[in-house]
Amino acid sequence: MKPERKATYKQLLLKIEAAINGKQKTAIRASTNRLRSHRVEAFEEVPDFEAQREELRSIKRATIQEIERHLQKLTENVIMKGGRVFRAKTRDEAVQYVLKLALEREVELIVKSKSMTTEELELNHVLEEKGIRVVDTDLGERIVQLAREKPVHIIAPAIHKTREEVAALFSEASGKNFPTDPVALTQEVRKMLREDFLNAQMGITGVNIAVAETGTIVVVTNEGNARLTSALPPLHVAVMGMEKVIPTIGDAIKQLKLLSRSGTGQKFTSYISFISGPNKGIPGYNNGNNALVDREFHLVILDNGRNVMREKEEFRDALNCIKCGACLNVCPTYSILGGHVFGYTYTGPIGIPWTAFTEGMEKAGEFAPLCIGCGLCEDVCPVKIEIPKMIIHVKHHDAKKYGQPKANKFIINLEEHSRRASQVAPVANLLLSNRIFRYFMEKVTGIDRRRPFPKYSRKTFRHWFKTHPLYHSKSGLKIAYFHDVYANYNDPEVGKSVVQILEKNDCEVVAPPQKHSGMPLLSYGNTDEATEIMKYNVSSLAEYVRKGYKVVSAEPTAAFCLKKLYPDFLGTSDAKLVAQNSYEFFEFLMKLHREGRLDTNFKKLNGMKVGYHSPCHTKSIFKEKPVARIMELIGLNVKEIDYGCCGIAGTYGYKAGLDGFDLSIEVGKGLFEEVMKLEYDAILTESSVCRVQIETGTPRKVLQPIRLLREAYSLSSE
Amino acid sequence: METVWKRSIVERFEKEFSALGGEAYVVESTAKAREKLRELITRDSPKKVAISDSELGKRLQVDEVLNEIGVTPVSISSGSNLRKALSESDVGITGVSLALADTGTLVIKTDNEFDRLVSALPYTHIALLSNRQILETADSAINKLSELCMGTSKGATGVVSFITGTSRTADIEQVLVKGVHGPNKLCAIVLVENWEAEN
Repeated sequence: MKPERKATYKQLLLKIEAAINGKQKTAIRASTNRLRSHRVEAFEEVPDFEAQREELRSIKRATIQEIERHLQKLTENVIMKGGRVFRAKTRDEAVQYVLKLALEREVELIVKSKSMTTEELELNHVLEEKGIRVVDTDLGERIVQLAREKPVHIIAPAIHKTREEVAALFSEASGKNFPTDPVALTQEVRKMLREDFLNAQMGITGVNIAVAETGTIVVVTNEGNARLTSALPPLHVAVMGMEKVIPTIGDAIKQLKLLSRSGTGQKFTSYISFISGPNKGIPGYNNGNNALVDREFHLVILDNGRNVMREKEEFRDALNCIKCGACLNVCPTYSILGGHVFGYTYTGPIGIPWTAFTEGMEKAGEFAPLCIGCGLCEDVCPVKIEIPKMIIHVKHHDAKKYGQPKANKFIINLEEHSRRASQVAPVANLLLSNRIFRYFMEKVTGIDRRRPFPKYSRKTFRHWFKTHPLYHSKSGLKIAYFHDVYANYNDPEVGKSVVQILEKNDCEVVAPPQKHSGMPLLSYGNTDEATEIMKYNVSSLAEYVRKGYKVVSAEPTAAFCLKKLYPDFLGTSDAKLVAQNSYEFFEFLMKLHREGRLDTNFKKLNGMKVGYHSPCHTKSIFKEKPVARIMELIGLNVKEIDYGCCGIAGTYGYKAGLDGFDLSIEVGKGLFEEVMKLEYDAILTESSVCRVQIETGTPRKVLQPIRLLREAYSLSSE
Repeated sequence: METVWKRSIVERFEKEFSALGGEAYVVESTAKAREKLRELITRDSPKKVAISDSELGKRLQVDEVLNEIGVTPVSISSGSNLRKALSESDVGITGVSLALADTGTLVIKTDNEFDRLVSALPYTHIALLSNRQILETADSAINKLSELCMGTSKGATGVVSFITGTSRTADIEQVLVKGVHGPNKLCAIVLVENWEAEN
């Protein structure tokens, strides 16, 4: 790694350490958990969520495509209504415009309501330098303003502060003693800020949506501070990123319907203000004729890298972001680390591509390693932004420019290492469980010595399959099995079970030529080599799909790759064809079951109470839990454990130290606690890596549901 | 052919509005509406009450109600120092342009800031509406909303405010607190005119 990146990498590790050992992680975790579950509840009553997402995505994409036209219309309409519009190409232009205006109007006090864009501009700082007092009125923003920190979360900026800390900040700022009870504290803050609202000469708000057809800006809050900010001072400046424009009021309503539910789980936030032009008659301001003065309204439209983002095909859709924060709440590493570690102005998963263009690719590369590739962000995004793909591109840029830590380089060649280990399996297994060997291995390769390795098998799945007679299906069901690394080199019994179970259900099974899924290369930004692998796999599988085969993979990461990452990344018709015809193993069995074609002659494994942990990659490809359903069919009493990510994130949890093993254990803590509860006879998961993690973090043994199913079918190992 | 209005829409509005902590009162005569209004105002023992003029407000003669109680009304024509008077008002009474049943939302178009501030500054906001103003969903209101935002003439300005529940925050330790920079009590008096006959 080049020295500049080595230095920032070290800083990142220190920040991770501070976050893991600090007090804030509990608050951050609690609030992201809460917002995440509120979102789930809110969408339970929206049966057409998928259709709404698809629609909003189309609207946004079409708008960005012709963004200039819409911005022109917006500008014309705002001007026609008596407002002023300023197009700022750079941060500096925007800041200077606002400053100049404030100085010309002799503004002494400014009230602000929450705006990520003004954070991006670092506006407060410039105004304060000129002696203008700036008060952030959103409670969370005011708290971090007094603490002189950046927000830790887009929706809940000060969630890491305790009530005592908050009371202390306000007490110091006001000279009065503020109570620690949140209700009483808030009442005092209300009184305090009310003074500022009434006396400010200028109000600055952000803009959630700018409607071109009516020249309307839409501002959304729960507290009501944007209303007061825009209604009381005689001068209102609204700052928007250019991507906020949308054609019609109808489009805006569609966006609002998804925004509140995604961000906080509310149907609508308490206040949504549709401001069309400078409103009239401001109480307290009279003109010469003793009539009330009308407002002066300025709309600042900011570029600052957005046009460049728009020109890059892989990143363009990031402009569709409606700033709801849903991806932050679902991200396993963000919900431990928070925004101070995971970003600058724009934080969390979407913060990575956004930082790349508003602050620079290098800045984004500093915290991009915190993405562990689980895919949950894309799954919750109300506009279906392909965030994992964009993050991979950022990692790619960074690796090309600055190189990689040695652990990444080792893991990128995981398939080759696995092949070699399998060839000398008995020796490899001995060495991998030997402490001294693992100590040196860590020094050389960067793989954490504490991480247990799954055993390697001398005889691989493909060895076995070569001599396995082809089964001919009576009903014509044909399956191309994509086995990936684990089922081949570590546990061929899994692969064998898959084949046997499918054959029991009258499927012909073939194992087409394949390379590994390529996930490790994608995880660390090695997109050139990864593209070769993806193309190879797609080409091989597409041939079979065209001959009427369905593709089945039993490793969740492989299924995730085939169904999501490959088509997102390659965008070719073959990749989409394979994606549409790919199934995760249990998903396929459930499909057979729904069609009445599943052999249900099971020897039931009655009475066993199992906890089922659903891997992130499974969650990112479908909502249902087919593993749980099939296990119930074979007589198990299944409880779904919903404690989020186990933390291992495929290969990330193998890396030595803070951003690898240590972070993975921290992420998995909630799950480990649940797993240890006595009510479970056994823990199940279909992911080979989740199993390793749960067995690392707890004394529990974790079972592979495929093996249980084989047992229920009374099939045996050949 | 006169349009009759569905009971179910009002019931839905009532349910959603209450779920957010609002108080909805459905009444079937202007007399009952006045009575309820009087009750809600006196409950707070306010010194000043701000009024934003509305058609329904005029019908209910809100001014008179306040005079009867002995409370100073603050209206746009009140004269000097409106800012101070507004900021000292404990209750604000407005009409609505429309309401949305499925989210319990009040939609209020104002073309001057005094009227907007009546629902924003005081602790209590009382909204007067007729069941005829309640639409089912935001989607069904899009045309009306576009009209309201567009305005009646080329240079027309104004603000359309969606109010869904009271002012709230959970910024301190995730504890829900109401009445931050807006009302912490939200009431709706719904005057019903022409129920649909139900079998």
